[in-house]
Amino acid sequence: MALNSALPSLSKESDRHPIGAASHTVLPRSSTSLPPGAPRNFSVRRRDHVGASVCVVLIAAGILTGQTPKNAPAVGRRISFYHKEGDRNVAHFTAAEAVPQGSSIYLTRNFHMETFREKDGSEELLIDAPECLFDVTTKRASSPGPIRVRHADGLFILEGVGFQWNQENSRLVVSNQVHTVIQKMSVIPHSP
Amino acid sequence: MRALHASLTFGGLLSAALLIAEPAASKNPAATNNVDITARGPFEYDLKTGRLHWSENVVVDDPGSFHLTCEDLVAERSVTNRRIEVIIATSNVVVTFVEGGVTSEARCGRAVYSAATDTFELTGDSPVVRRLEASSWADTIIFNRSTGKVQGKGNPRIQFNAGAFPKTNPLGPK
Repeated sequence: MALNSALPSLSKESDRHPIGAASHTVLPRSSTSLPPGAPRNFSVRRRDHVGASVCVVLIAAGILTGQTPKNAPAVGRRISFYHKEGDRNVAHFTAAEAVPQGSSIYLTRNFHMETFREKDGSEELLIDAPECLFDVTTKRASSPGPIRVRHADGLFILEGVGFQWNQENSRLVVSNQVHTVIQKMSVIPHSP
Repeated sequence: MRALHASLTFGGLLSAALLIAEPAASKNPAATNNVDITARGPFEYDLKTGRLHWSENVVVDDPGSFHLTCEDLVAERSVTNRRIEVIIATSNVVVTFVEGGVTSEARCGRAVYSAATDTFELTGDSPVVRRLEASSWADTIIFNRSTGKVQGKGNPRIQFNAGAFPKTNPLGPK
C-alpha cells in the first residue's frame, strides 16, 4: 500500500520543533492517501511508529471505503501546510493533531497559523486555537471555541470565542467575547 | 440650582467656532501604553485593507485618558506606515475624557478620532459636551486632545452651570 511505503519518510517526535519548512517532510500526494483536492505540499508527521501506523491505517481504511473517519485516532498526526501564491509563501498552517472530517476538512488541535506580508515576507498575523476545523482545500479555519490573535508588528493582541478565518479574502471574524489590547504606539498622533 | 443659559448664534457663519474651555494639556500619570477594547462581537479584521471592526457593546478604555462606549467601532490603518489613522465610533457614543485632571463627557451619534490631528469630531444625535462649568451643543463638536480646545461648529449653544462659579458676583455693586 502506498501509505506503508510513505511511513519510513515520516520524521520523529524529537524533531517536531521548531516549526519550519526545512524540518518538515512533505509527502507527495501520490504517495499518500490524502483526500482528493488536498494540496501536494500537505505534510504529515509521526509521533511514534505504532501510533502513526494505527492512525494512518484506520484513516486510510475510512477513505478507501468511502467513510468519514470522524473518530479515527489522531495520535501522532501533525499537519503543516504552506499556502503559496506563485513562489511566495502567503500563509503557514500547523496543528499538533488532525483528524479527517471529510474530503478535505480536518479537526485540528493546537492549531496555529501565520500570514506573511507580500512586501518582505515577514510575519503579519498569528492565530492560535486549541481546536478548530481546517479545510486544506479552501484554507478556511473555523471554531466555536477560543481563539488568540497577535499582530506581528505589535498592533494588537486579541482574544475571543468562536472564529472563522477565510484565506481567500484574508478576513478574520471573531464571533463573541472579543477582548483586544491595542498598543498606543500604533494609534498615537503622528509627529509632524 | 440656577443655570445661566446662553444661546449663541452666528448668523450665516457656517463654521463659527466657539472656544468653550482650554485646559492645559498635561501628561496623566494613570496613562498606560495600551488601549483595551472589549465587545460582545462579532469582530472583523480585513488583513488586506487593515480595517478592524468591533460590534455590539463596544467599550474602549484608555486608562487616564478616555473611556468610550458605543455599538459599533471601526479602526482604519494606514497602508504606508501601518498605524491606525482613523477610529470611527457610531451609535450611542459616550466618551469620557480626562485631561489635566478635568473630566468631560461627550454624547453623540458618531465620533471620529483622527490620529493626524489628535482630534475627536462629534456629530449626530445633537452632540453635547458636558463639563463641570458648562454644557455645550453644536451640529459638530471638535475636541482637540493636544490643546484641550473644544470647538462647536453650526448652531453652537452653551449652558453655563452657575453652581460652578463663585457665589460672590465680581460685577456687582461694591
